[in-house]
Amino acid sequence: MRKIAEGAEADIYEDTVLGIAAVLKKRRVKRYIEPALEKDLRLQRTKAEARIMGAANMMGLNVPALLAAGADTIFMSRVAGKPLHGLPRQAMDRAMNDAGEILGRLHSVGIAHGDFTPANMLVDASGALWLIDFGLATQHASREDLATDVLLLKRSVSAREYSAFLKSYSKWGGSSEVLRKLASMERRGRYQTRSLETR
Amino acid sequence: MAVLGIESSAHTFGAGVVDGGKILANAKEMYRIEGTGMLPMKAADLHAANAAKVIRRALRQARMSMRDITAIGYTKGPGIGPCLRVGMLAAKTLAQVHSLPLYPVNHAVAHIEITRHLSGMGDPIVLYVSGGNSQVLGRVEEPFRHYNVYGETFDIGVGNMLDNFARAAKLNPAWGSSVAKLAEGGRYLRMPYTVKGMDFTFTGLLTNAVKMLASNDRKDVAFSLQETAFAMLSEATERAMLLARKSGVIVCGGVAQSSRLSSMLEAMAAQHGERFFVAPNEYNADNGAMIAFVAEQMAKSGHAVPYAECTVNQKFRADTVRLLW
Repeated sequence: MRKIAEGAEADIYEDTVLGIAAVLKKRRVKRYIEPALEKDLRLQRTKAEARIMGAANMMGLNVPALLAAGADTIFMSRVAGKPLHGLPRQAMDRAMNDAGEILGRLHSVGIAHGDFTPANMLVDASGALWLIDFGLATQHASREDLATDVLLLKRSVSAREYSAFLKSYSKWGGSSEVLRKLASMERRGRYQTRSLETR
Repeated sequence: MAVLGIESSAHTFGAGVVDGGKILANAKEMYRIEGTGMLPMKAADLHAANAAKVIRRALRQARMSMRDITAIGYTKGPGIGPCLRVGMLAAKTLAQVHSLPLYPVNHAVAHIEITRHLSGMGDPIVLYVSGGNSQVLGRVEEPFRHYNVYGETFDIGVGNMLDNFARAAKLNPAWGSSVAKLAEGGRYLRMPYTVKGMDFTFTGLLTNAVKMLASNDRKDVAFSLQETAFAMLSEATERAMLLARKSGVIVCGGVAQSSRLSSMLEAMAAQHGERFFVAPNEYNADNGAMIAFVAEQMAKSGHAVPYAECTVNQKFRADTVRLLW
């Protein structure tokens, strides 16, 4: 087994399981947190991630397939794709269109991804988009959680890419409610357009 | 260039003198909180009564007179309106009498910058925690150099949360250090843990902890409340540090006086091979030296603000301040 990445929360390893190219995600022990609390968090988060990935698999979405889950580890299929960074304009529009469709379908069953940025998206050889890392996802998400997904994407892509995303995301019936929530969140303190107070 | 700094955003009236980045004086008088918490008008009255005395003491500490001072800084905000106004008026009066340039300083930026200066770090991730504020910040260059808020509390500051709990548990004095004392040797009980990305909330945790007081050992509740709240802050800081690729961790503001919070952040930083720094308590508590320090930076790199534009702003956000240094 080979370590391929160190994320904020987990170490990522690569291996083959029953002939399937797989990824093992092991949540790191945060030694600075009270051990009983830390263990609670680690197990809860792993369980939630596995459950949500499984639900997304059942819906047939382009997300890694859940192979097995233990106390603080998850085995999943490895997505053969490359990052969105540097994609030509047309391919990017297609990717953002796919992103809107996947997010709309997740939101329609009350799942918020929790970290919906291009860093968690890959594009396969056919140009289709795959969504990865459900480490911060929530089930039975509030409208605010759903709107946070959209907000995070909006802040991390260009205006043109965002409108490509919106085109397909808006096809989901509940999207107008979420976008209304988003507008109210953007008026809040921390999302205000920043102005110069002093020189 | 000797700069006088005046701070009065909450319960402390402070005056400090800085010369070439060196802190020469840091005098203060504090409003003592009795039982009910702080009464803004009473605090403001006390500041007005103490102002001249504290400023004189600072000048004496620095072995200077007003004739040696070349610029004045004061806290513009964030803070409590009546309290802020006392410091602003003292600064404005002195500036006009002695024909000195005046610099309105952001209180949060002052806490951060004095700590960063003492730490010797260039571009760390910052946890700013006090009664009314709890934010994770870091320097960003675009669209202008400023402190970006990566995450913050969506309801109350962690300090207010601990003070509220201390009152509910009938601790005296009712503030965070009493909670820390009570927490010694406590056992962990499960409490709500709310971190969303890099933002967090404390009211649910507070309500839960106060309810738990009825049927649990106070010591265990205090321990679990403190461990949960500080773990939330440390995790948000960790995520921001990794996301923004910052090097080093600093903590500042009133709650930075908590040794448990510092030890947790230090362990977090160590797990990533990063340095950690917390300033001596004198600078974590509100003080005039940090205001003088930032006013000197502003004086060196920018223009003074006309007296008429020197106002107070209770909700003056750190991320609206352009850093010229």
